[in-house]
Amino acid sequence: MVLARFGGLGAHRYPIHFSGDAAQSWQELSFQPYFSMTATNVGAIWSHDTSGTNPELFTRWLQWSVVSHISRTHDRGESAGRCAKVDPETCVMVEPWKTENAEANGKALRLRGALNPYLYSSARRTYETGVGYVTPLYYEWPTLEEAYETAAPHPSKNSSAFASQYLFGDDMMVAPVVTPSNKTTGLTELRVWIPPGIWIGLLDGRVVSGASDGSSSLSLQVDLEDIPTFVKAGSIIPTLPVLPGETIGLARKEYTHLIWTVYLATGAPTSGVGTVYEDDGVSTAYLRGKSAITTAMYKIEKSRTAHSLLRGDDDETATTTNTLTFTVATEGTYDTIPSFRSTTLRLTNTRPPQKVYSSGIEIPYSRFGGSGTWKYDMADAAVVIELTPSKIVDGVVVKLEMSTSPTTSSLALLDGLGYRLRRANSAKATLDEIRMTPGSQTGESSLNAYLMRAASSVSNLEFLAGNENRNNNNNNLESSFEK
Amino acid sequence: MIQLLDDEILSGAIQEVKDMYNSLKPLLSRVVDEERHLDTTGFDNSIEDPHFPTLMDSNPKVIHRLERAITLLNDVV
Repeated sequence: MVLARFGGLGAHRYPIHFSGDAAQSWQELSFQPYFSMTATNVGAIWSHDTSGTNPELFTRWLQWSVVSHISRTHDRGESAGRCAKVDPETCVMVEPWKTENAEANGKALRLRGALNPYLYSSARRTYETGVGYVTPLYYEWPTLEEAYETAAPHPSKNSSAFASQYLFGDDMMVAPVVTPSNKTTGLTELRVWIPPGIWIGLLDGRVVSGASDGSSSLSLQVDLEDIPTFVKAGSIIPTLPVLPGETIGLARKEYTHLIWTVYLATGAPTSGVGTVYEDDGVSTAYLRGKSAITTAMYKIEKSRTAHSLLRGDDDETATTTNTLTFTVATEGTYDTIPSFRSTTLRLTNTRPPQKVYSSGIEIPYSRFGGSGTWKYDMADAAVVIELTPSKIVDGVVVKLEMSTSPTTSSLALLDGLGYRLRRANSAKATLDEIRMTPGSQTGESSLNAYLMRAASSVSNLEFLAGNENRNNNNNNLESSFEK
Repeated sequence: MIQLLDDEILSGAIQEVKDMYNSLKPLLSRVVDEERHLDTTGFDNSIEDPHFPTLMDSNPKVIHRLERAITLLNDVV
């Protein structure tokens, strides 16, 4: 890959460029998403220098960087040169681990690492089509005026304007935070346009719906570690597990474990497809067909089991079962493709299943997961199925039996519950910091109980999801959520 | 087949979050008002000893955290 310097129209022979030496300011940052997405209009894969003169600016720039074409930290040598000796207070930051926001920076970088299969597959589509994978929303909604408003430069100059928003690959919409936070709350308010359709938070399962006429918007209060990113309902996003100590050189490693997250919510499509492109990553053997495409698909079907054969389908006591079938198949190969691969399937905003099968063999529930089991993750109310490694050529077939379809209205209870519980826990943590959690100081024990139960809701609900609880008769846990 | 995580339990969990919000919001708002009141009436301008901590040294942070908690809770209902 050739990363060229700043170039203009006509520099397409080497189409990966950068936005020139960037001033380290909020105004400059707020211009960069606009600069990148409109560079796509003229065939450029636009990059940008990631740096900042204060921890918050650097974190927000880094976050935008990990959901853009090219992610790299860079300055003009000031941080290591004269600046570090003369004016260290305002020196440019480029090392994510050397700031007070190291945790938020690490979370952003791990997200970039996890998204490698999605990014590489998006880059392959760019290779085939010439269209970058940071695109203005008007590519998909050209008749809606709001789609153009989200691609305006310098949104920070107008507080009522929509945030800068763009499509990241085919399935994600990002609204990077490019303005400073409220000094009182530490949160940054963003006004986000919600394009038509159902959208689900990439990491928290939050569900938002956009009207078909483009009239929907949402005001977000974004915490420092969050990057507002939404996925189209029904999409399947491939990611890698990012494990501590194994983050260096992640993009160069073969995919020995793929996590497929199916973004479900009330009203989501009953079928969907996701793909991963892969090759050896280092040679031009792909030009001779040395590459592979792995396709994942899901389909939800409803079936009725009559309790009496004589009554047939008219039997009012018949049981309705919904079956979700998930398949993975790989076509093509390359020299270093792994023989075996682990597969994890995640289904967001989904009620725990009654049965899970892989190739006809039932998979047991496990409270904390592990290979060959399924668990429940309240972060995004997801059913998580971890399959044992299998031969890539054999493919994967998983079936889930559920009493309720994952996309029917009765499941609206689950939509975004993980997000709400997380925000409640963040509020509790904030109050804990100043020892003002009600109940701990004020004697209002009932309020303390609310906060404590909200804090424990995540683990309680995950525990209740498991079939192994059937025989435990754990009335305390079950009754703790009864109204 | 017993499905423990049923509608009733989920409804209960959501209701708990809402109850928490409805109970906390007025309490936190009251505390913020009291803290602001202390800021304006409890600070003695005649005290100029830089080593003597005043309300103004600590209270803004308390108020900030309370307002942050309220903003976060606004999002859960």
